[in-house]
This record gives sequence, C-alpha cells and structure tokens, in this order.
Amino acid sequence: MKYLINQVRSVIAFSKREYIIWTSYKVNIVTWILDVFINSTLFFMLSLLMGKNTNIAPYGSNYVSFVVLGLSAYYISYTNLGDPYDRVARIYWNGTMDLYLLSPLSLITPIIGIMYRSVLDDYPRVLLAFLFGWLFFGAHFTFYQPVTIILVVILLGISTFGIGMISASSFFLLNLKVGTEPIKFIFQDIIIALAAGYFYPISILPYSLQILSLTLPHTYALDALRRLMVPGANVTVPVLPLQKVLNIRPISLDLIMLTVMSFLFIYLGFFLYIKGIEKARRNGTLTRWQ
Amino acid sequence: MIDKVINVKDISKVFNPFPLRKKERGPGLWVANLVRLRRIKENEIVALREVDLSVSRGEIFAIIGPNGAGKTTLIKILSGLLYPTKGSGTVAGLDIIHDHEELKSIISFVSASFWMGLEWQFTAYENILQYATMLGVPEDTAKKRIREYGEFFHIDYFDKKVPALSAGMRQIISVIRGLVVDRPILYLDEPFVSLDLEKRMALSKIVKALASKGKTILISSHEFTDLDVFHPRSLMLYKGKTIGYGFAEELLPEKGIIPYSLRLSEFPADLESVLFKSGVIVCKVPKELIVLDRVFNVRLLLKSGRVNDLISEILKRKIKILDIKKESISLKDAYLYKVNNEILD
Repeated sequence: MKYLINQVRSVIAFSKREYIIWTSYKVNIVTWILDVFINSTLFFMLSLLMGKNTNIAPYGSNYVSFVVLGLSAYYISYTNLGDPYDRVARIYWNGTMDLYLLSPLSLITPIIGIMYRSVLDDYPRVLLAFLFGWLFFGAHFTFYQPVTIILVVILLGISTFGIGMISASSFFLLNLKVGTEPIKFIFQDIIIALAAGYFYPISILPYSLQILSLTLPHTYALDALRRLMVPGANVTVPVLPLQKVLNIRPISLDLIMLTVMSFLFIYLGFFLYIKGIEKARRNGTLTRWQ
Repeated sequence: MIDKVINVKDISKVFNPFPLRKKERGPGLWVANLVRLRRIKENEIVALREVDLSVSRGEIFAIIGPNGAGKTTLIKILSGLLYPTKGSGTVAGLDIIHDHEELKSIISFVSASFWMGLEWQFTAYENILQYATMLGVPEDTAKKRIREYGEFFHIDYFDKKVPALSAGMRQIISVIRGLVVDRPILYLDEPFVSLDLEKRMALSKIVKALASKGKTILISSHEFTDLDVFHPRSLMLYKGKTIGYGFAEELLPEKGIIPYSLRLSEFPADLESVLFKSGVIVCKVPKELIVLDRVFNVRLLLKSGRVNDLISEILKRKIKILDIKKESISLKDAYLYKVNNEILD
C-alpha cells in the first residue's frame, strides 16, 4: 500500500513539474490554443462539406456528432499511443534514466508522470472538440449510459497506452533511438489512420480493411461510443464483422473486446518494456552518457 | 570481524553497442537494427576484465584510473544499473544482478554526468527537493538537509535556475542532491570535476565525516591528489584491468621506495635517465616537474638508501639544491609507477 501511495505521490510530483515546464513556455500556450482552434475548425468544415451525403446508419444521422467522437478517439489515441515512446526518448536524451532507475519508482511511473504534459496538451482538445461541435456546428449527444461511456473511454485509454508501451519498448529492444519508431508508425500512421473509422463508418471500407480494423481497440470503442452518444443511433444492429458472426449484443461485444485488448496490450507493453530495460542493462545502452 | 559491504569477484563487462549510422532513418534503420540483433564481435568493447573488489563498512575506497579505464562501468554495475557480462557480487548482502530493486534503496549515486539530468526550468533548490522526494525522503527532512548542506558549501544560488549556473555550481548541486538522500552506501563518480578548491576541500571534509558515521563510500577519480587526503585503499584500473589493489604504499611492487620532492636551480633533460640507469630512481618519468620562478620543483621515486647518490649526481652537475624533502607515497606515485614501468614498458 505504501509502495502504491509513493507511486501516486511521484506521479503528482512529476505532473506538477510538467505543469511548471509547460507554463514556462508562454508563447507555446498561445500557439497551442490557436492550433486546437484551427485544426478543429478545419475538421468540422470538412465534415460539413461531406456530411450531407454520408450514410452513417446505424449510428444515427448527425454526422458532426459522429465526427466529434471520432476526433476525440483520435486525440486520446494519439496521446496514449504516441507519447510513451517520446517520453522514454526524453528521459534517455536528458540523461535522467539512471536517476529514475535508482529511485524506488516503478519503471512505468516516470513515464506516466511525464505524460501529464500530454494531458495538458492533448486532452483539452477532446473537450474543445465537443464544445466547438455543439456551439458552432450543430452536434448533439446523448448520455443514456454514462457508466458504460466512461468504461469505454477508460478501456480505450488503457489499450492504446498498452500499444504505446509496446512502441516505447522498441527504444531499447530494437535500439531505435533516432528517426521514426515502427510500431507507432505502423499502428498510428497506417492501420489506425486507414481502418479506425475516425471520420467514416468502417462498413464502407473494403472487407479486408474491415477485418484489419478488428485488431484495433478504436473500432470497438468508436462503435460503442457512437451507438451510445449519437442521437438516434441503433444499439442492436450489428456493423462490425465480428458482431455479425457472434450472437452477442454489439455493445457487450465491444466491451468484451476492449477488456481483452486492454489486458493483452498492457501486459505485452509492460512485459516488452521491462525486457527492453533488462537488455539495456546488459548492453549498456540505458543512458546516452554511459 | 571486518564487515564487508561490497564484494565482487571476476567482474567483466563487454559492451556490444549498435553502430548508429547517420544515413539510416525509418524503415532502413528498423531493418538494419533487426539484422544487428545478434552479437557482432568487432563492435565489442571490453570495459572490465575479471575485476575483484571488497570494501568494508565505513571505508572510503577509491577507484582510480585514466579516462576509459572502466571506473564508471564498475560503479554502475555495483548500482544495478548495468549487469556484468561475467562474474558475481553482492552489495550489503544483495546480489548485484537479481536484487537490483532492493539495492537501490541502500545506495546513493552521484555522477559527474548527472548535472545533465537537472531540470533546466527549475531552480537549484527545486531540483534537489524534487529528486529527494522522488527517492522517498520526507519533504521536511529534505528541506532541512538541503539547508544544512547549502550552509556547509556556502551556496547562495539555490534560487537560481539551472541555465544561470556555472558547470561547477551544477556539479555541486548534483553532489548535494546525492547527499540529501542519505543512504548507507554512497557512490561518488568523479565528484570533484569542475569544483573549485574551496568546494573540493568541503566535499572531502563531508566524505570523511560520513565515513566516520559508518557510511561506506566508493569514490572514483582520475584526479589522484583529491583522493590522497583520504589515504584510501584503492582499485587501480587501466583499460578495464586491475593493475593495483590496496593502499598506495602497497601498490608499488617493491619495498623501500621513497618519494622525494626537490627544488632545483635547473633540471637537465638527461639527468633523469642517468638516475634511472644507475638505479637511484625507480621511475622513468619525473613524478612532477613544475617550473616556477626559474625554480624546478621535482618529485622523484628513490630507492631506499640512495639519497646520497642522488645528491652527489646533482651537485656533480653544479645544480643548486634549494630544498629536499622526504614524502609519503601517494596514489599518483603508485599509478605513474605502474603505468610507466609495467604497462607502457
């Protein structure tokens, strides 16, 4: 228990530090707000242009609401999947890996603590996306099952963080310290970009890509969120190939798959990251300045 | 019974680094690194070769050697940050490989390179406090210790942010950061780097005080003069190999060698080789040759009973001897003797 409390205290201490660092770049804050505003507006303009002719059934009929949820999943995924590698890289290049490994913190605690920066940087985008969608572009949402919605968001967060940790492990396992990291690139920039269905229902994709999308937590999270939050959405009509094969309620299947993926990816992520650190201890590649 | 805190046997460390080629990025690098996952012999760097070491509780033990000798590698192995390729060891009864999680709660590690881990947006004070709380020191205790060490080292720049600090200031902040944690075993890796004379003396005083309280201190340096004040037992490394182990006087291969410091009106280039060939001195190079106000200050390692031969050889050349003084053997004497007479011979 004391160990857990110490980890939480450290995450809070790291978060405070990240807040101080983040707010020390005052110009960055202004550019960040502008960036969020311009990006969000751009997506909504595109959605308005395409939305009128898009059939998104059974996810209701409000395409802007559909896209707001897609954008939110994109932001959450972008942070959780992309950040662990970047944070490990920062710890490495700053020369603080030795200090953290000599502390009583778990291997993961500093990464989670430093990710607070991204919480400041990316998560408010989700709220802004909802706000812009509602205020300017006619998005509406339903909150009939708030507990299930929160559960889906948490599971999406955990599973994408797991993939993020698999990506971070490549820093030491494959010694990829420069250039692009392959797991993040393959997941984020190829599979997720193509098959996650941020801006369209995956039913419009070729069947092979629909099958590929089944390996992504985004698919199940977006399916559940859209069924639960887009007004007029149907909760019983199957859309995903797996839902058509198995005789389980779509949202229940989404939750089962998200739970399985959360456990699987988190386990794999932590396992591989710890293996990566072990390998670095053997090879002497833990810190930049050995 | 002597309480051995650190015990290592036959420790070897071979690094097998990945060569990073600048042209490789993205998929090219992924493929190249996957191919390189196997060991490639020609990339290997042998950092330590079969090193033995044992340190007692409350001892100040020195690891000395030139750059690249393996000092930092050895300390990192003793911290659990690196695994040895071969050999085994314990620190306070904990296995250096299997118990590295427990090990970190009993050691404090200060490295010359740790100032790079300072947070640049923070003040010196905030940096130390952040680290201390991260390592589980209660905030009030940490603040008290920071104040005490600040007064001891005469720090008047705690409120300054890291970019405003000089290299020496950053180094002393890193040192205080390690001391505030207050663990039974302290590793100091090149702690004197960039420090001015006053801070060096203060740090030496602290190290002695901590050892007298029973803390075990392992200190590495290539500046031997800083270590002589402790009169420590030492491990002398050269290219990863042990070339000496023990007190300075034990490190010389033969007994009856006495260092002398002389102040001479001149020091002809051939004098030294003449003295060496005739067996008066035992080392081929002058220990120290400092010319100050046209006075040559020389330190030589003499064979016992050959002082008169030295004096007569000098006087024969009409060189004035302004002063001659018997000294005790220093780590530097032993190191230079070893390297010049045994390694480079």
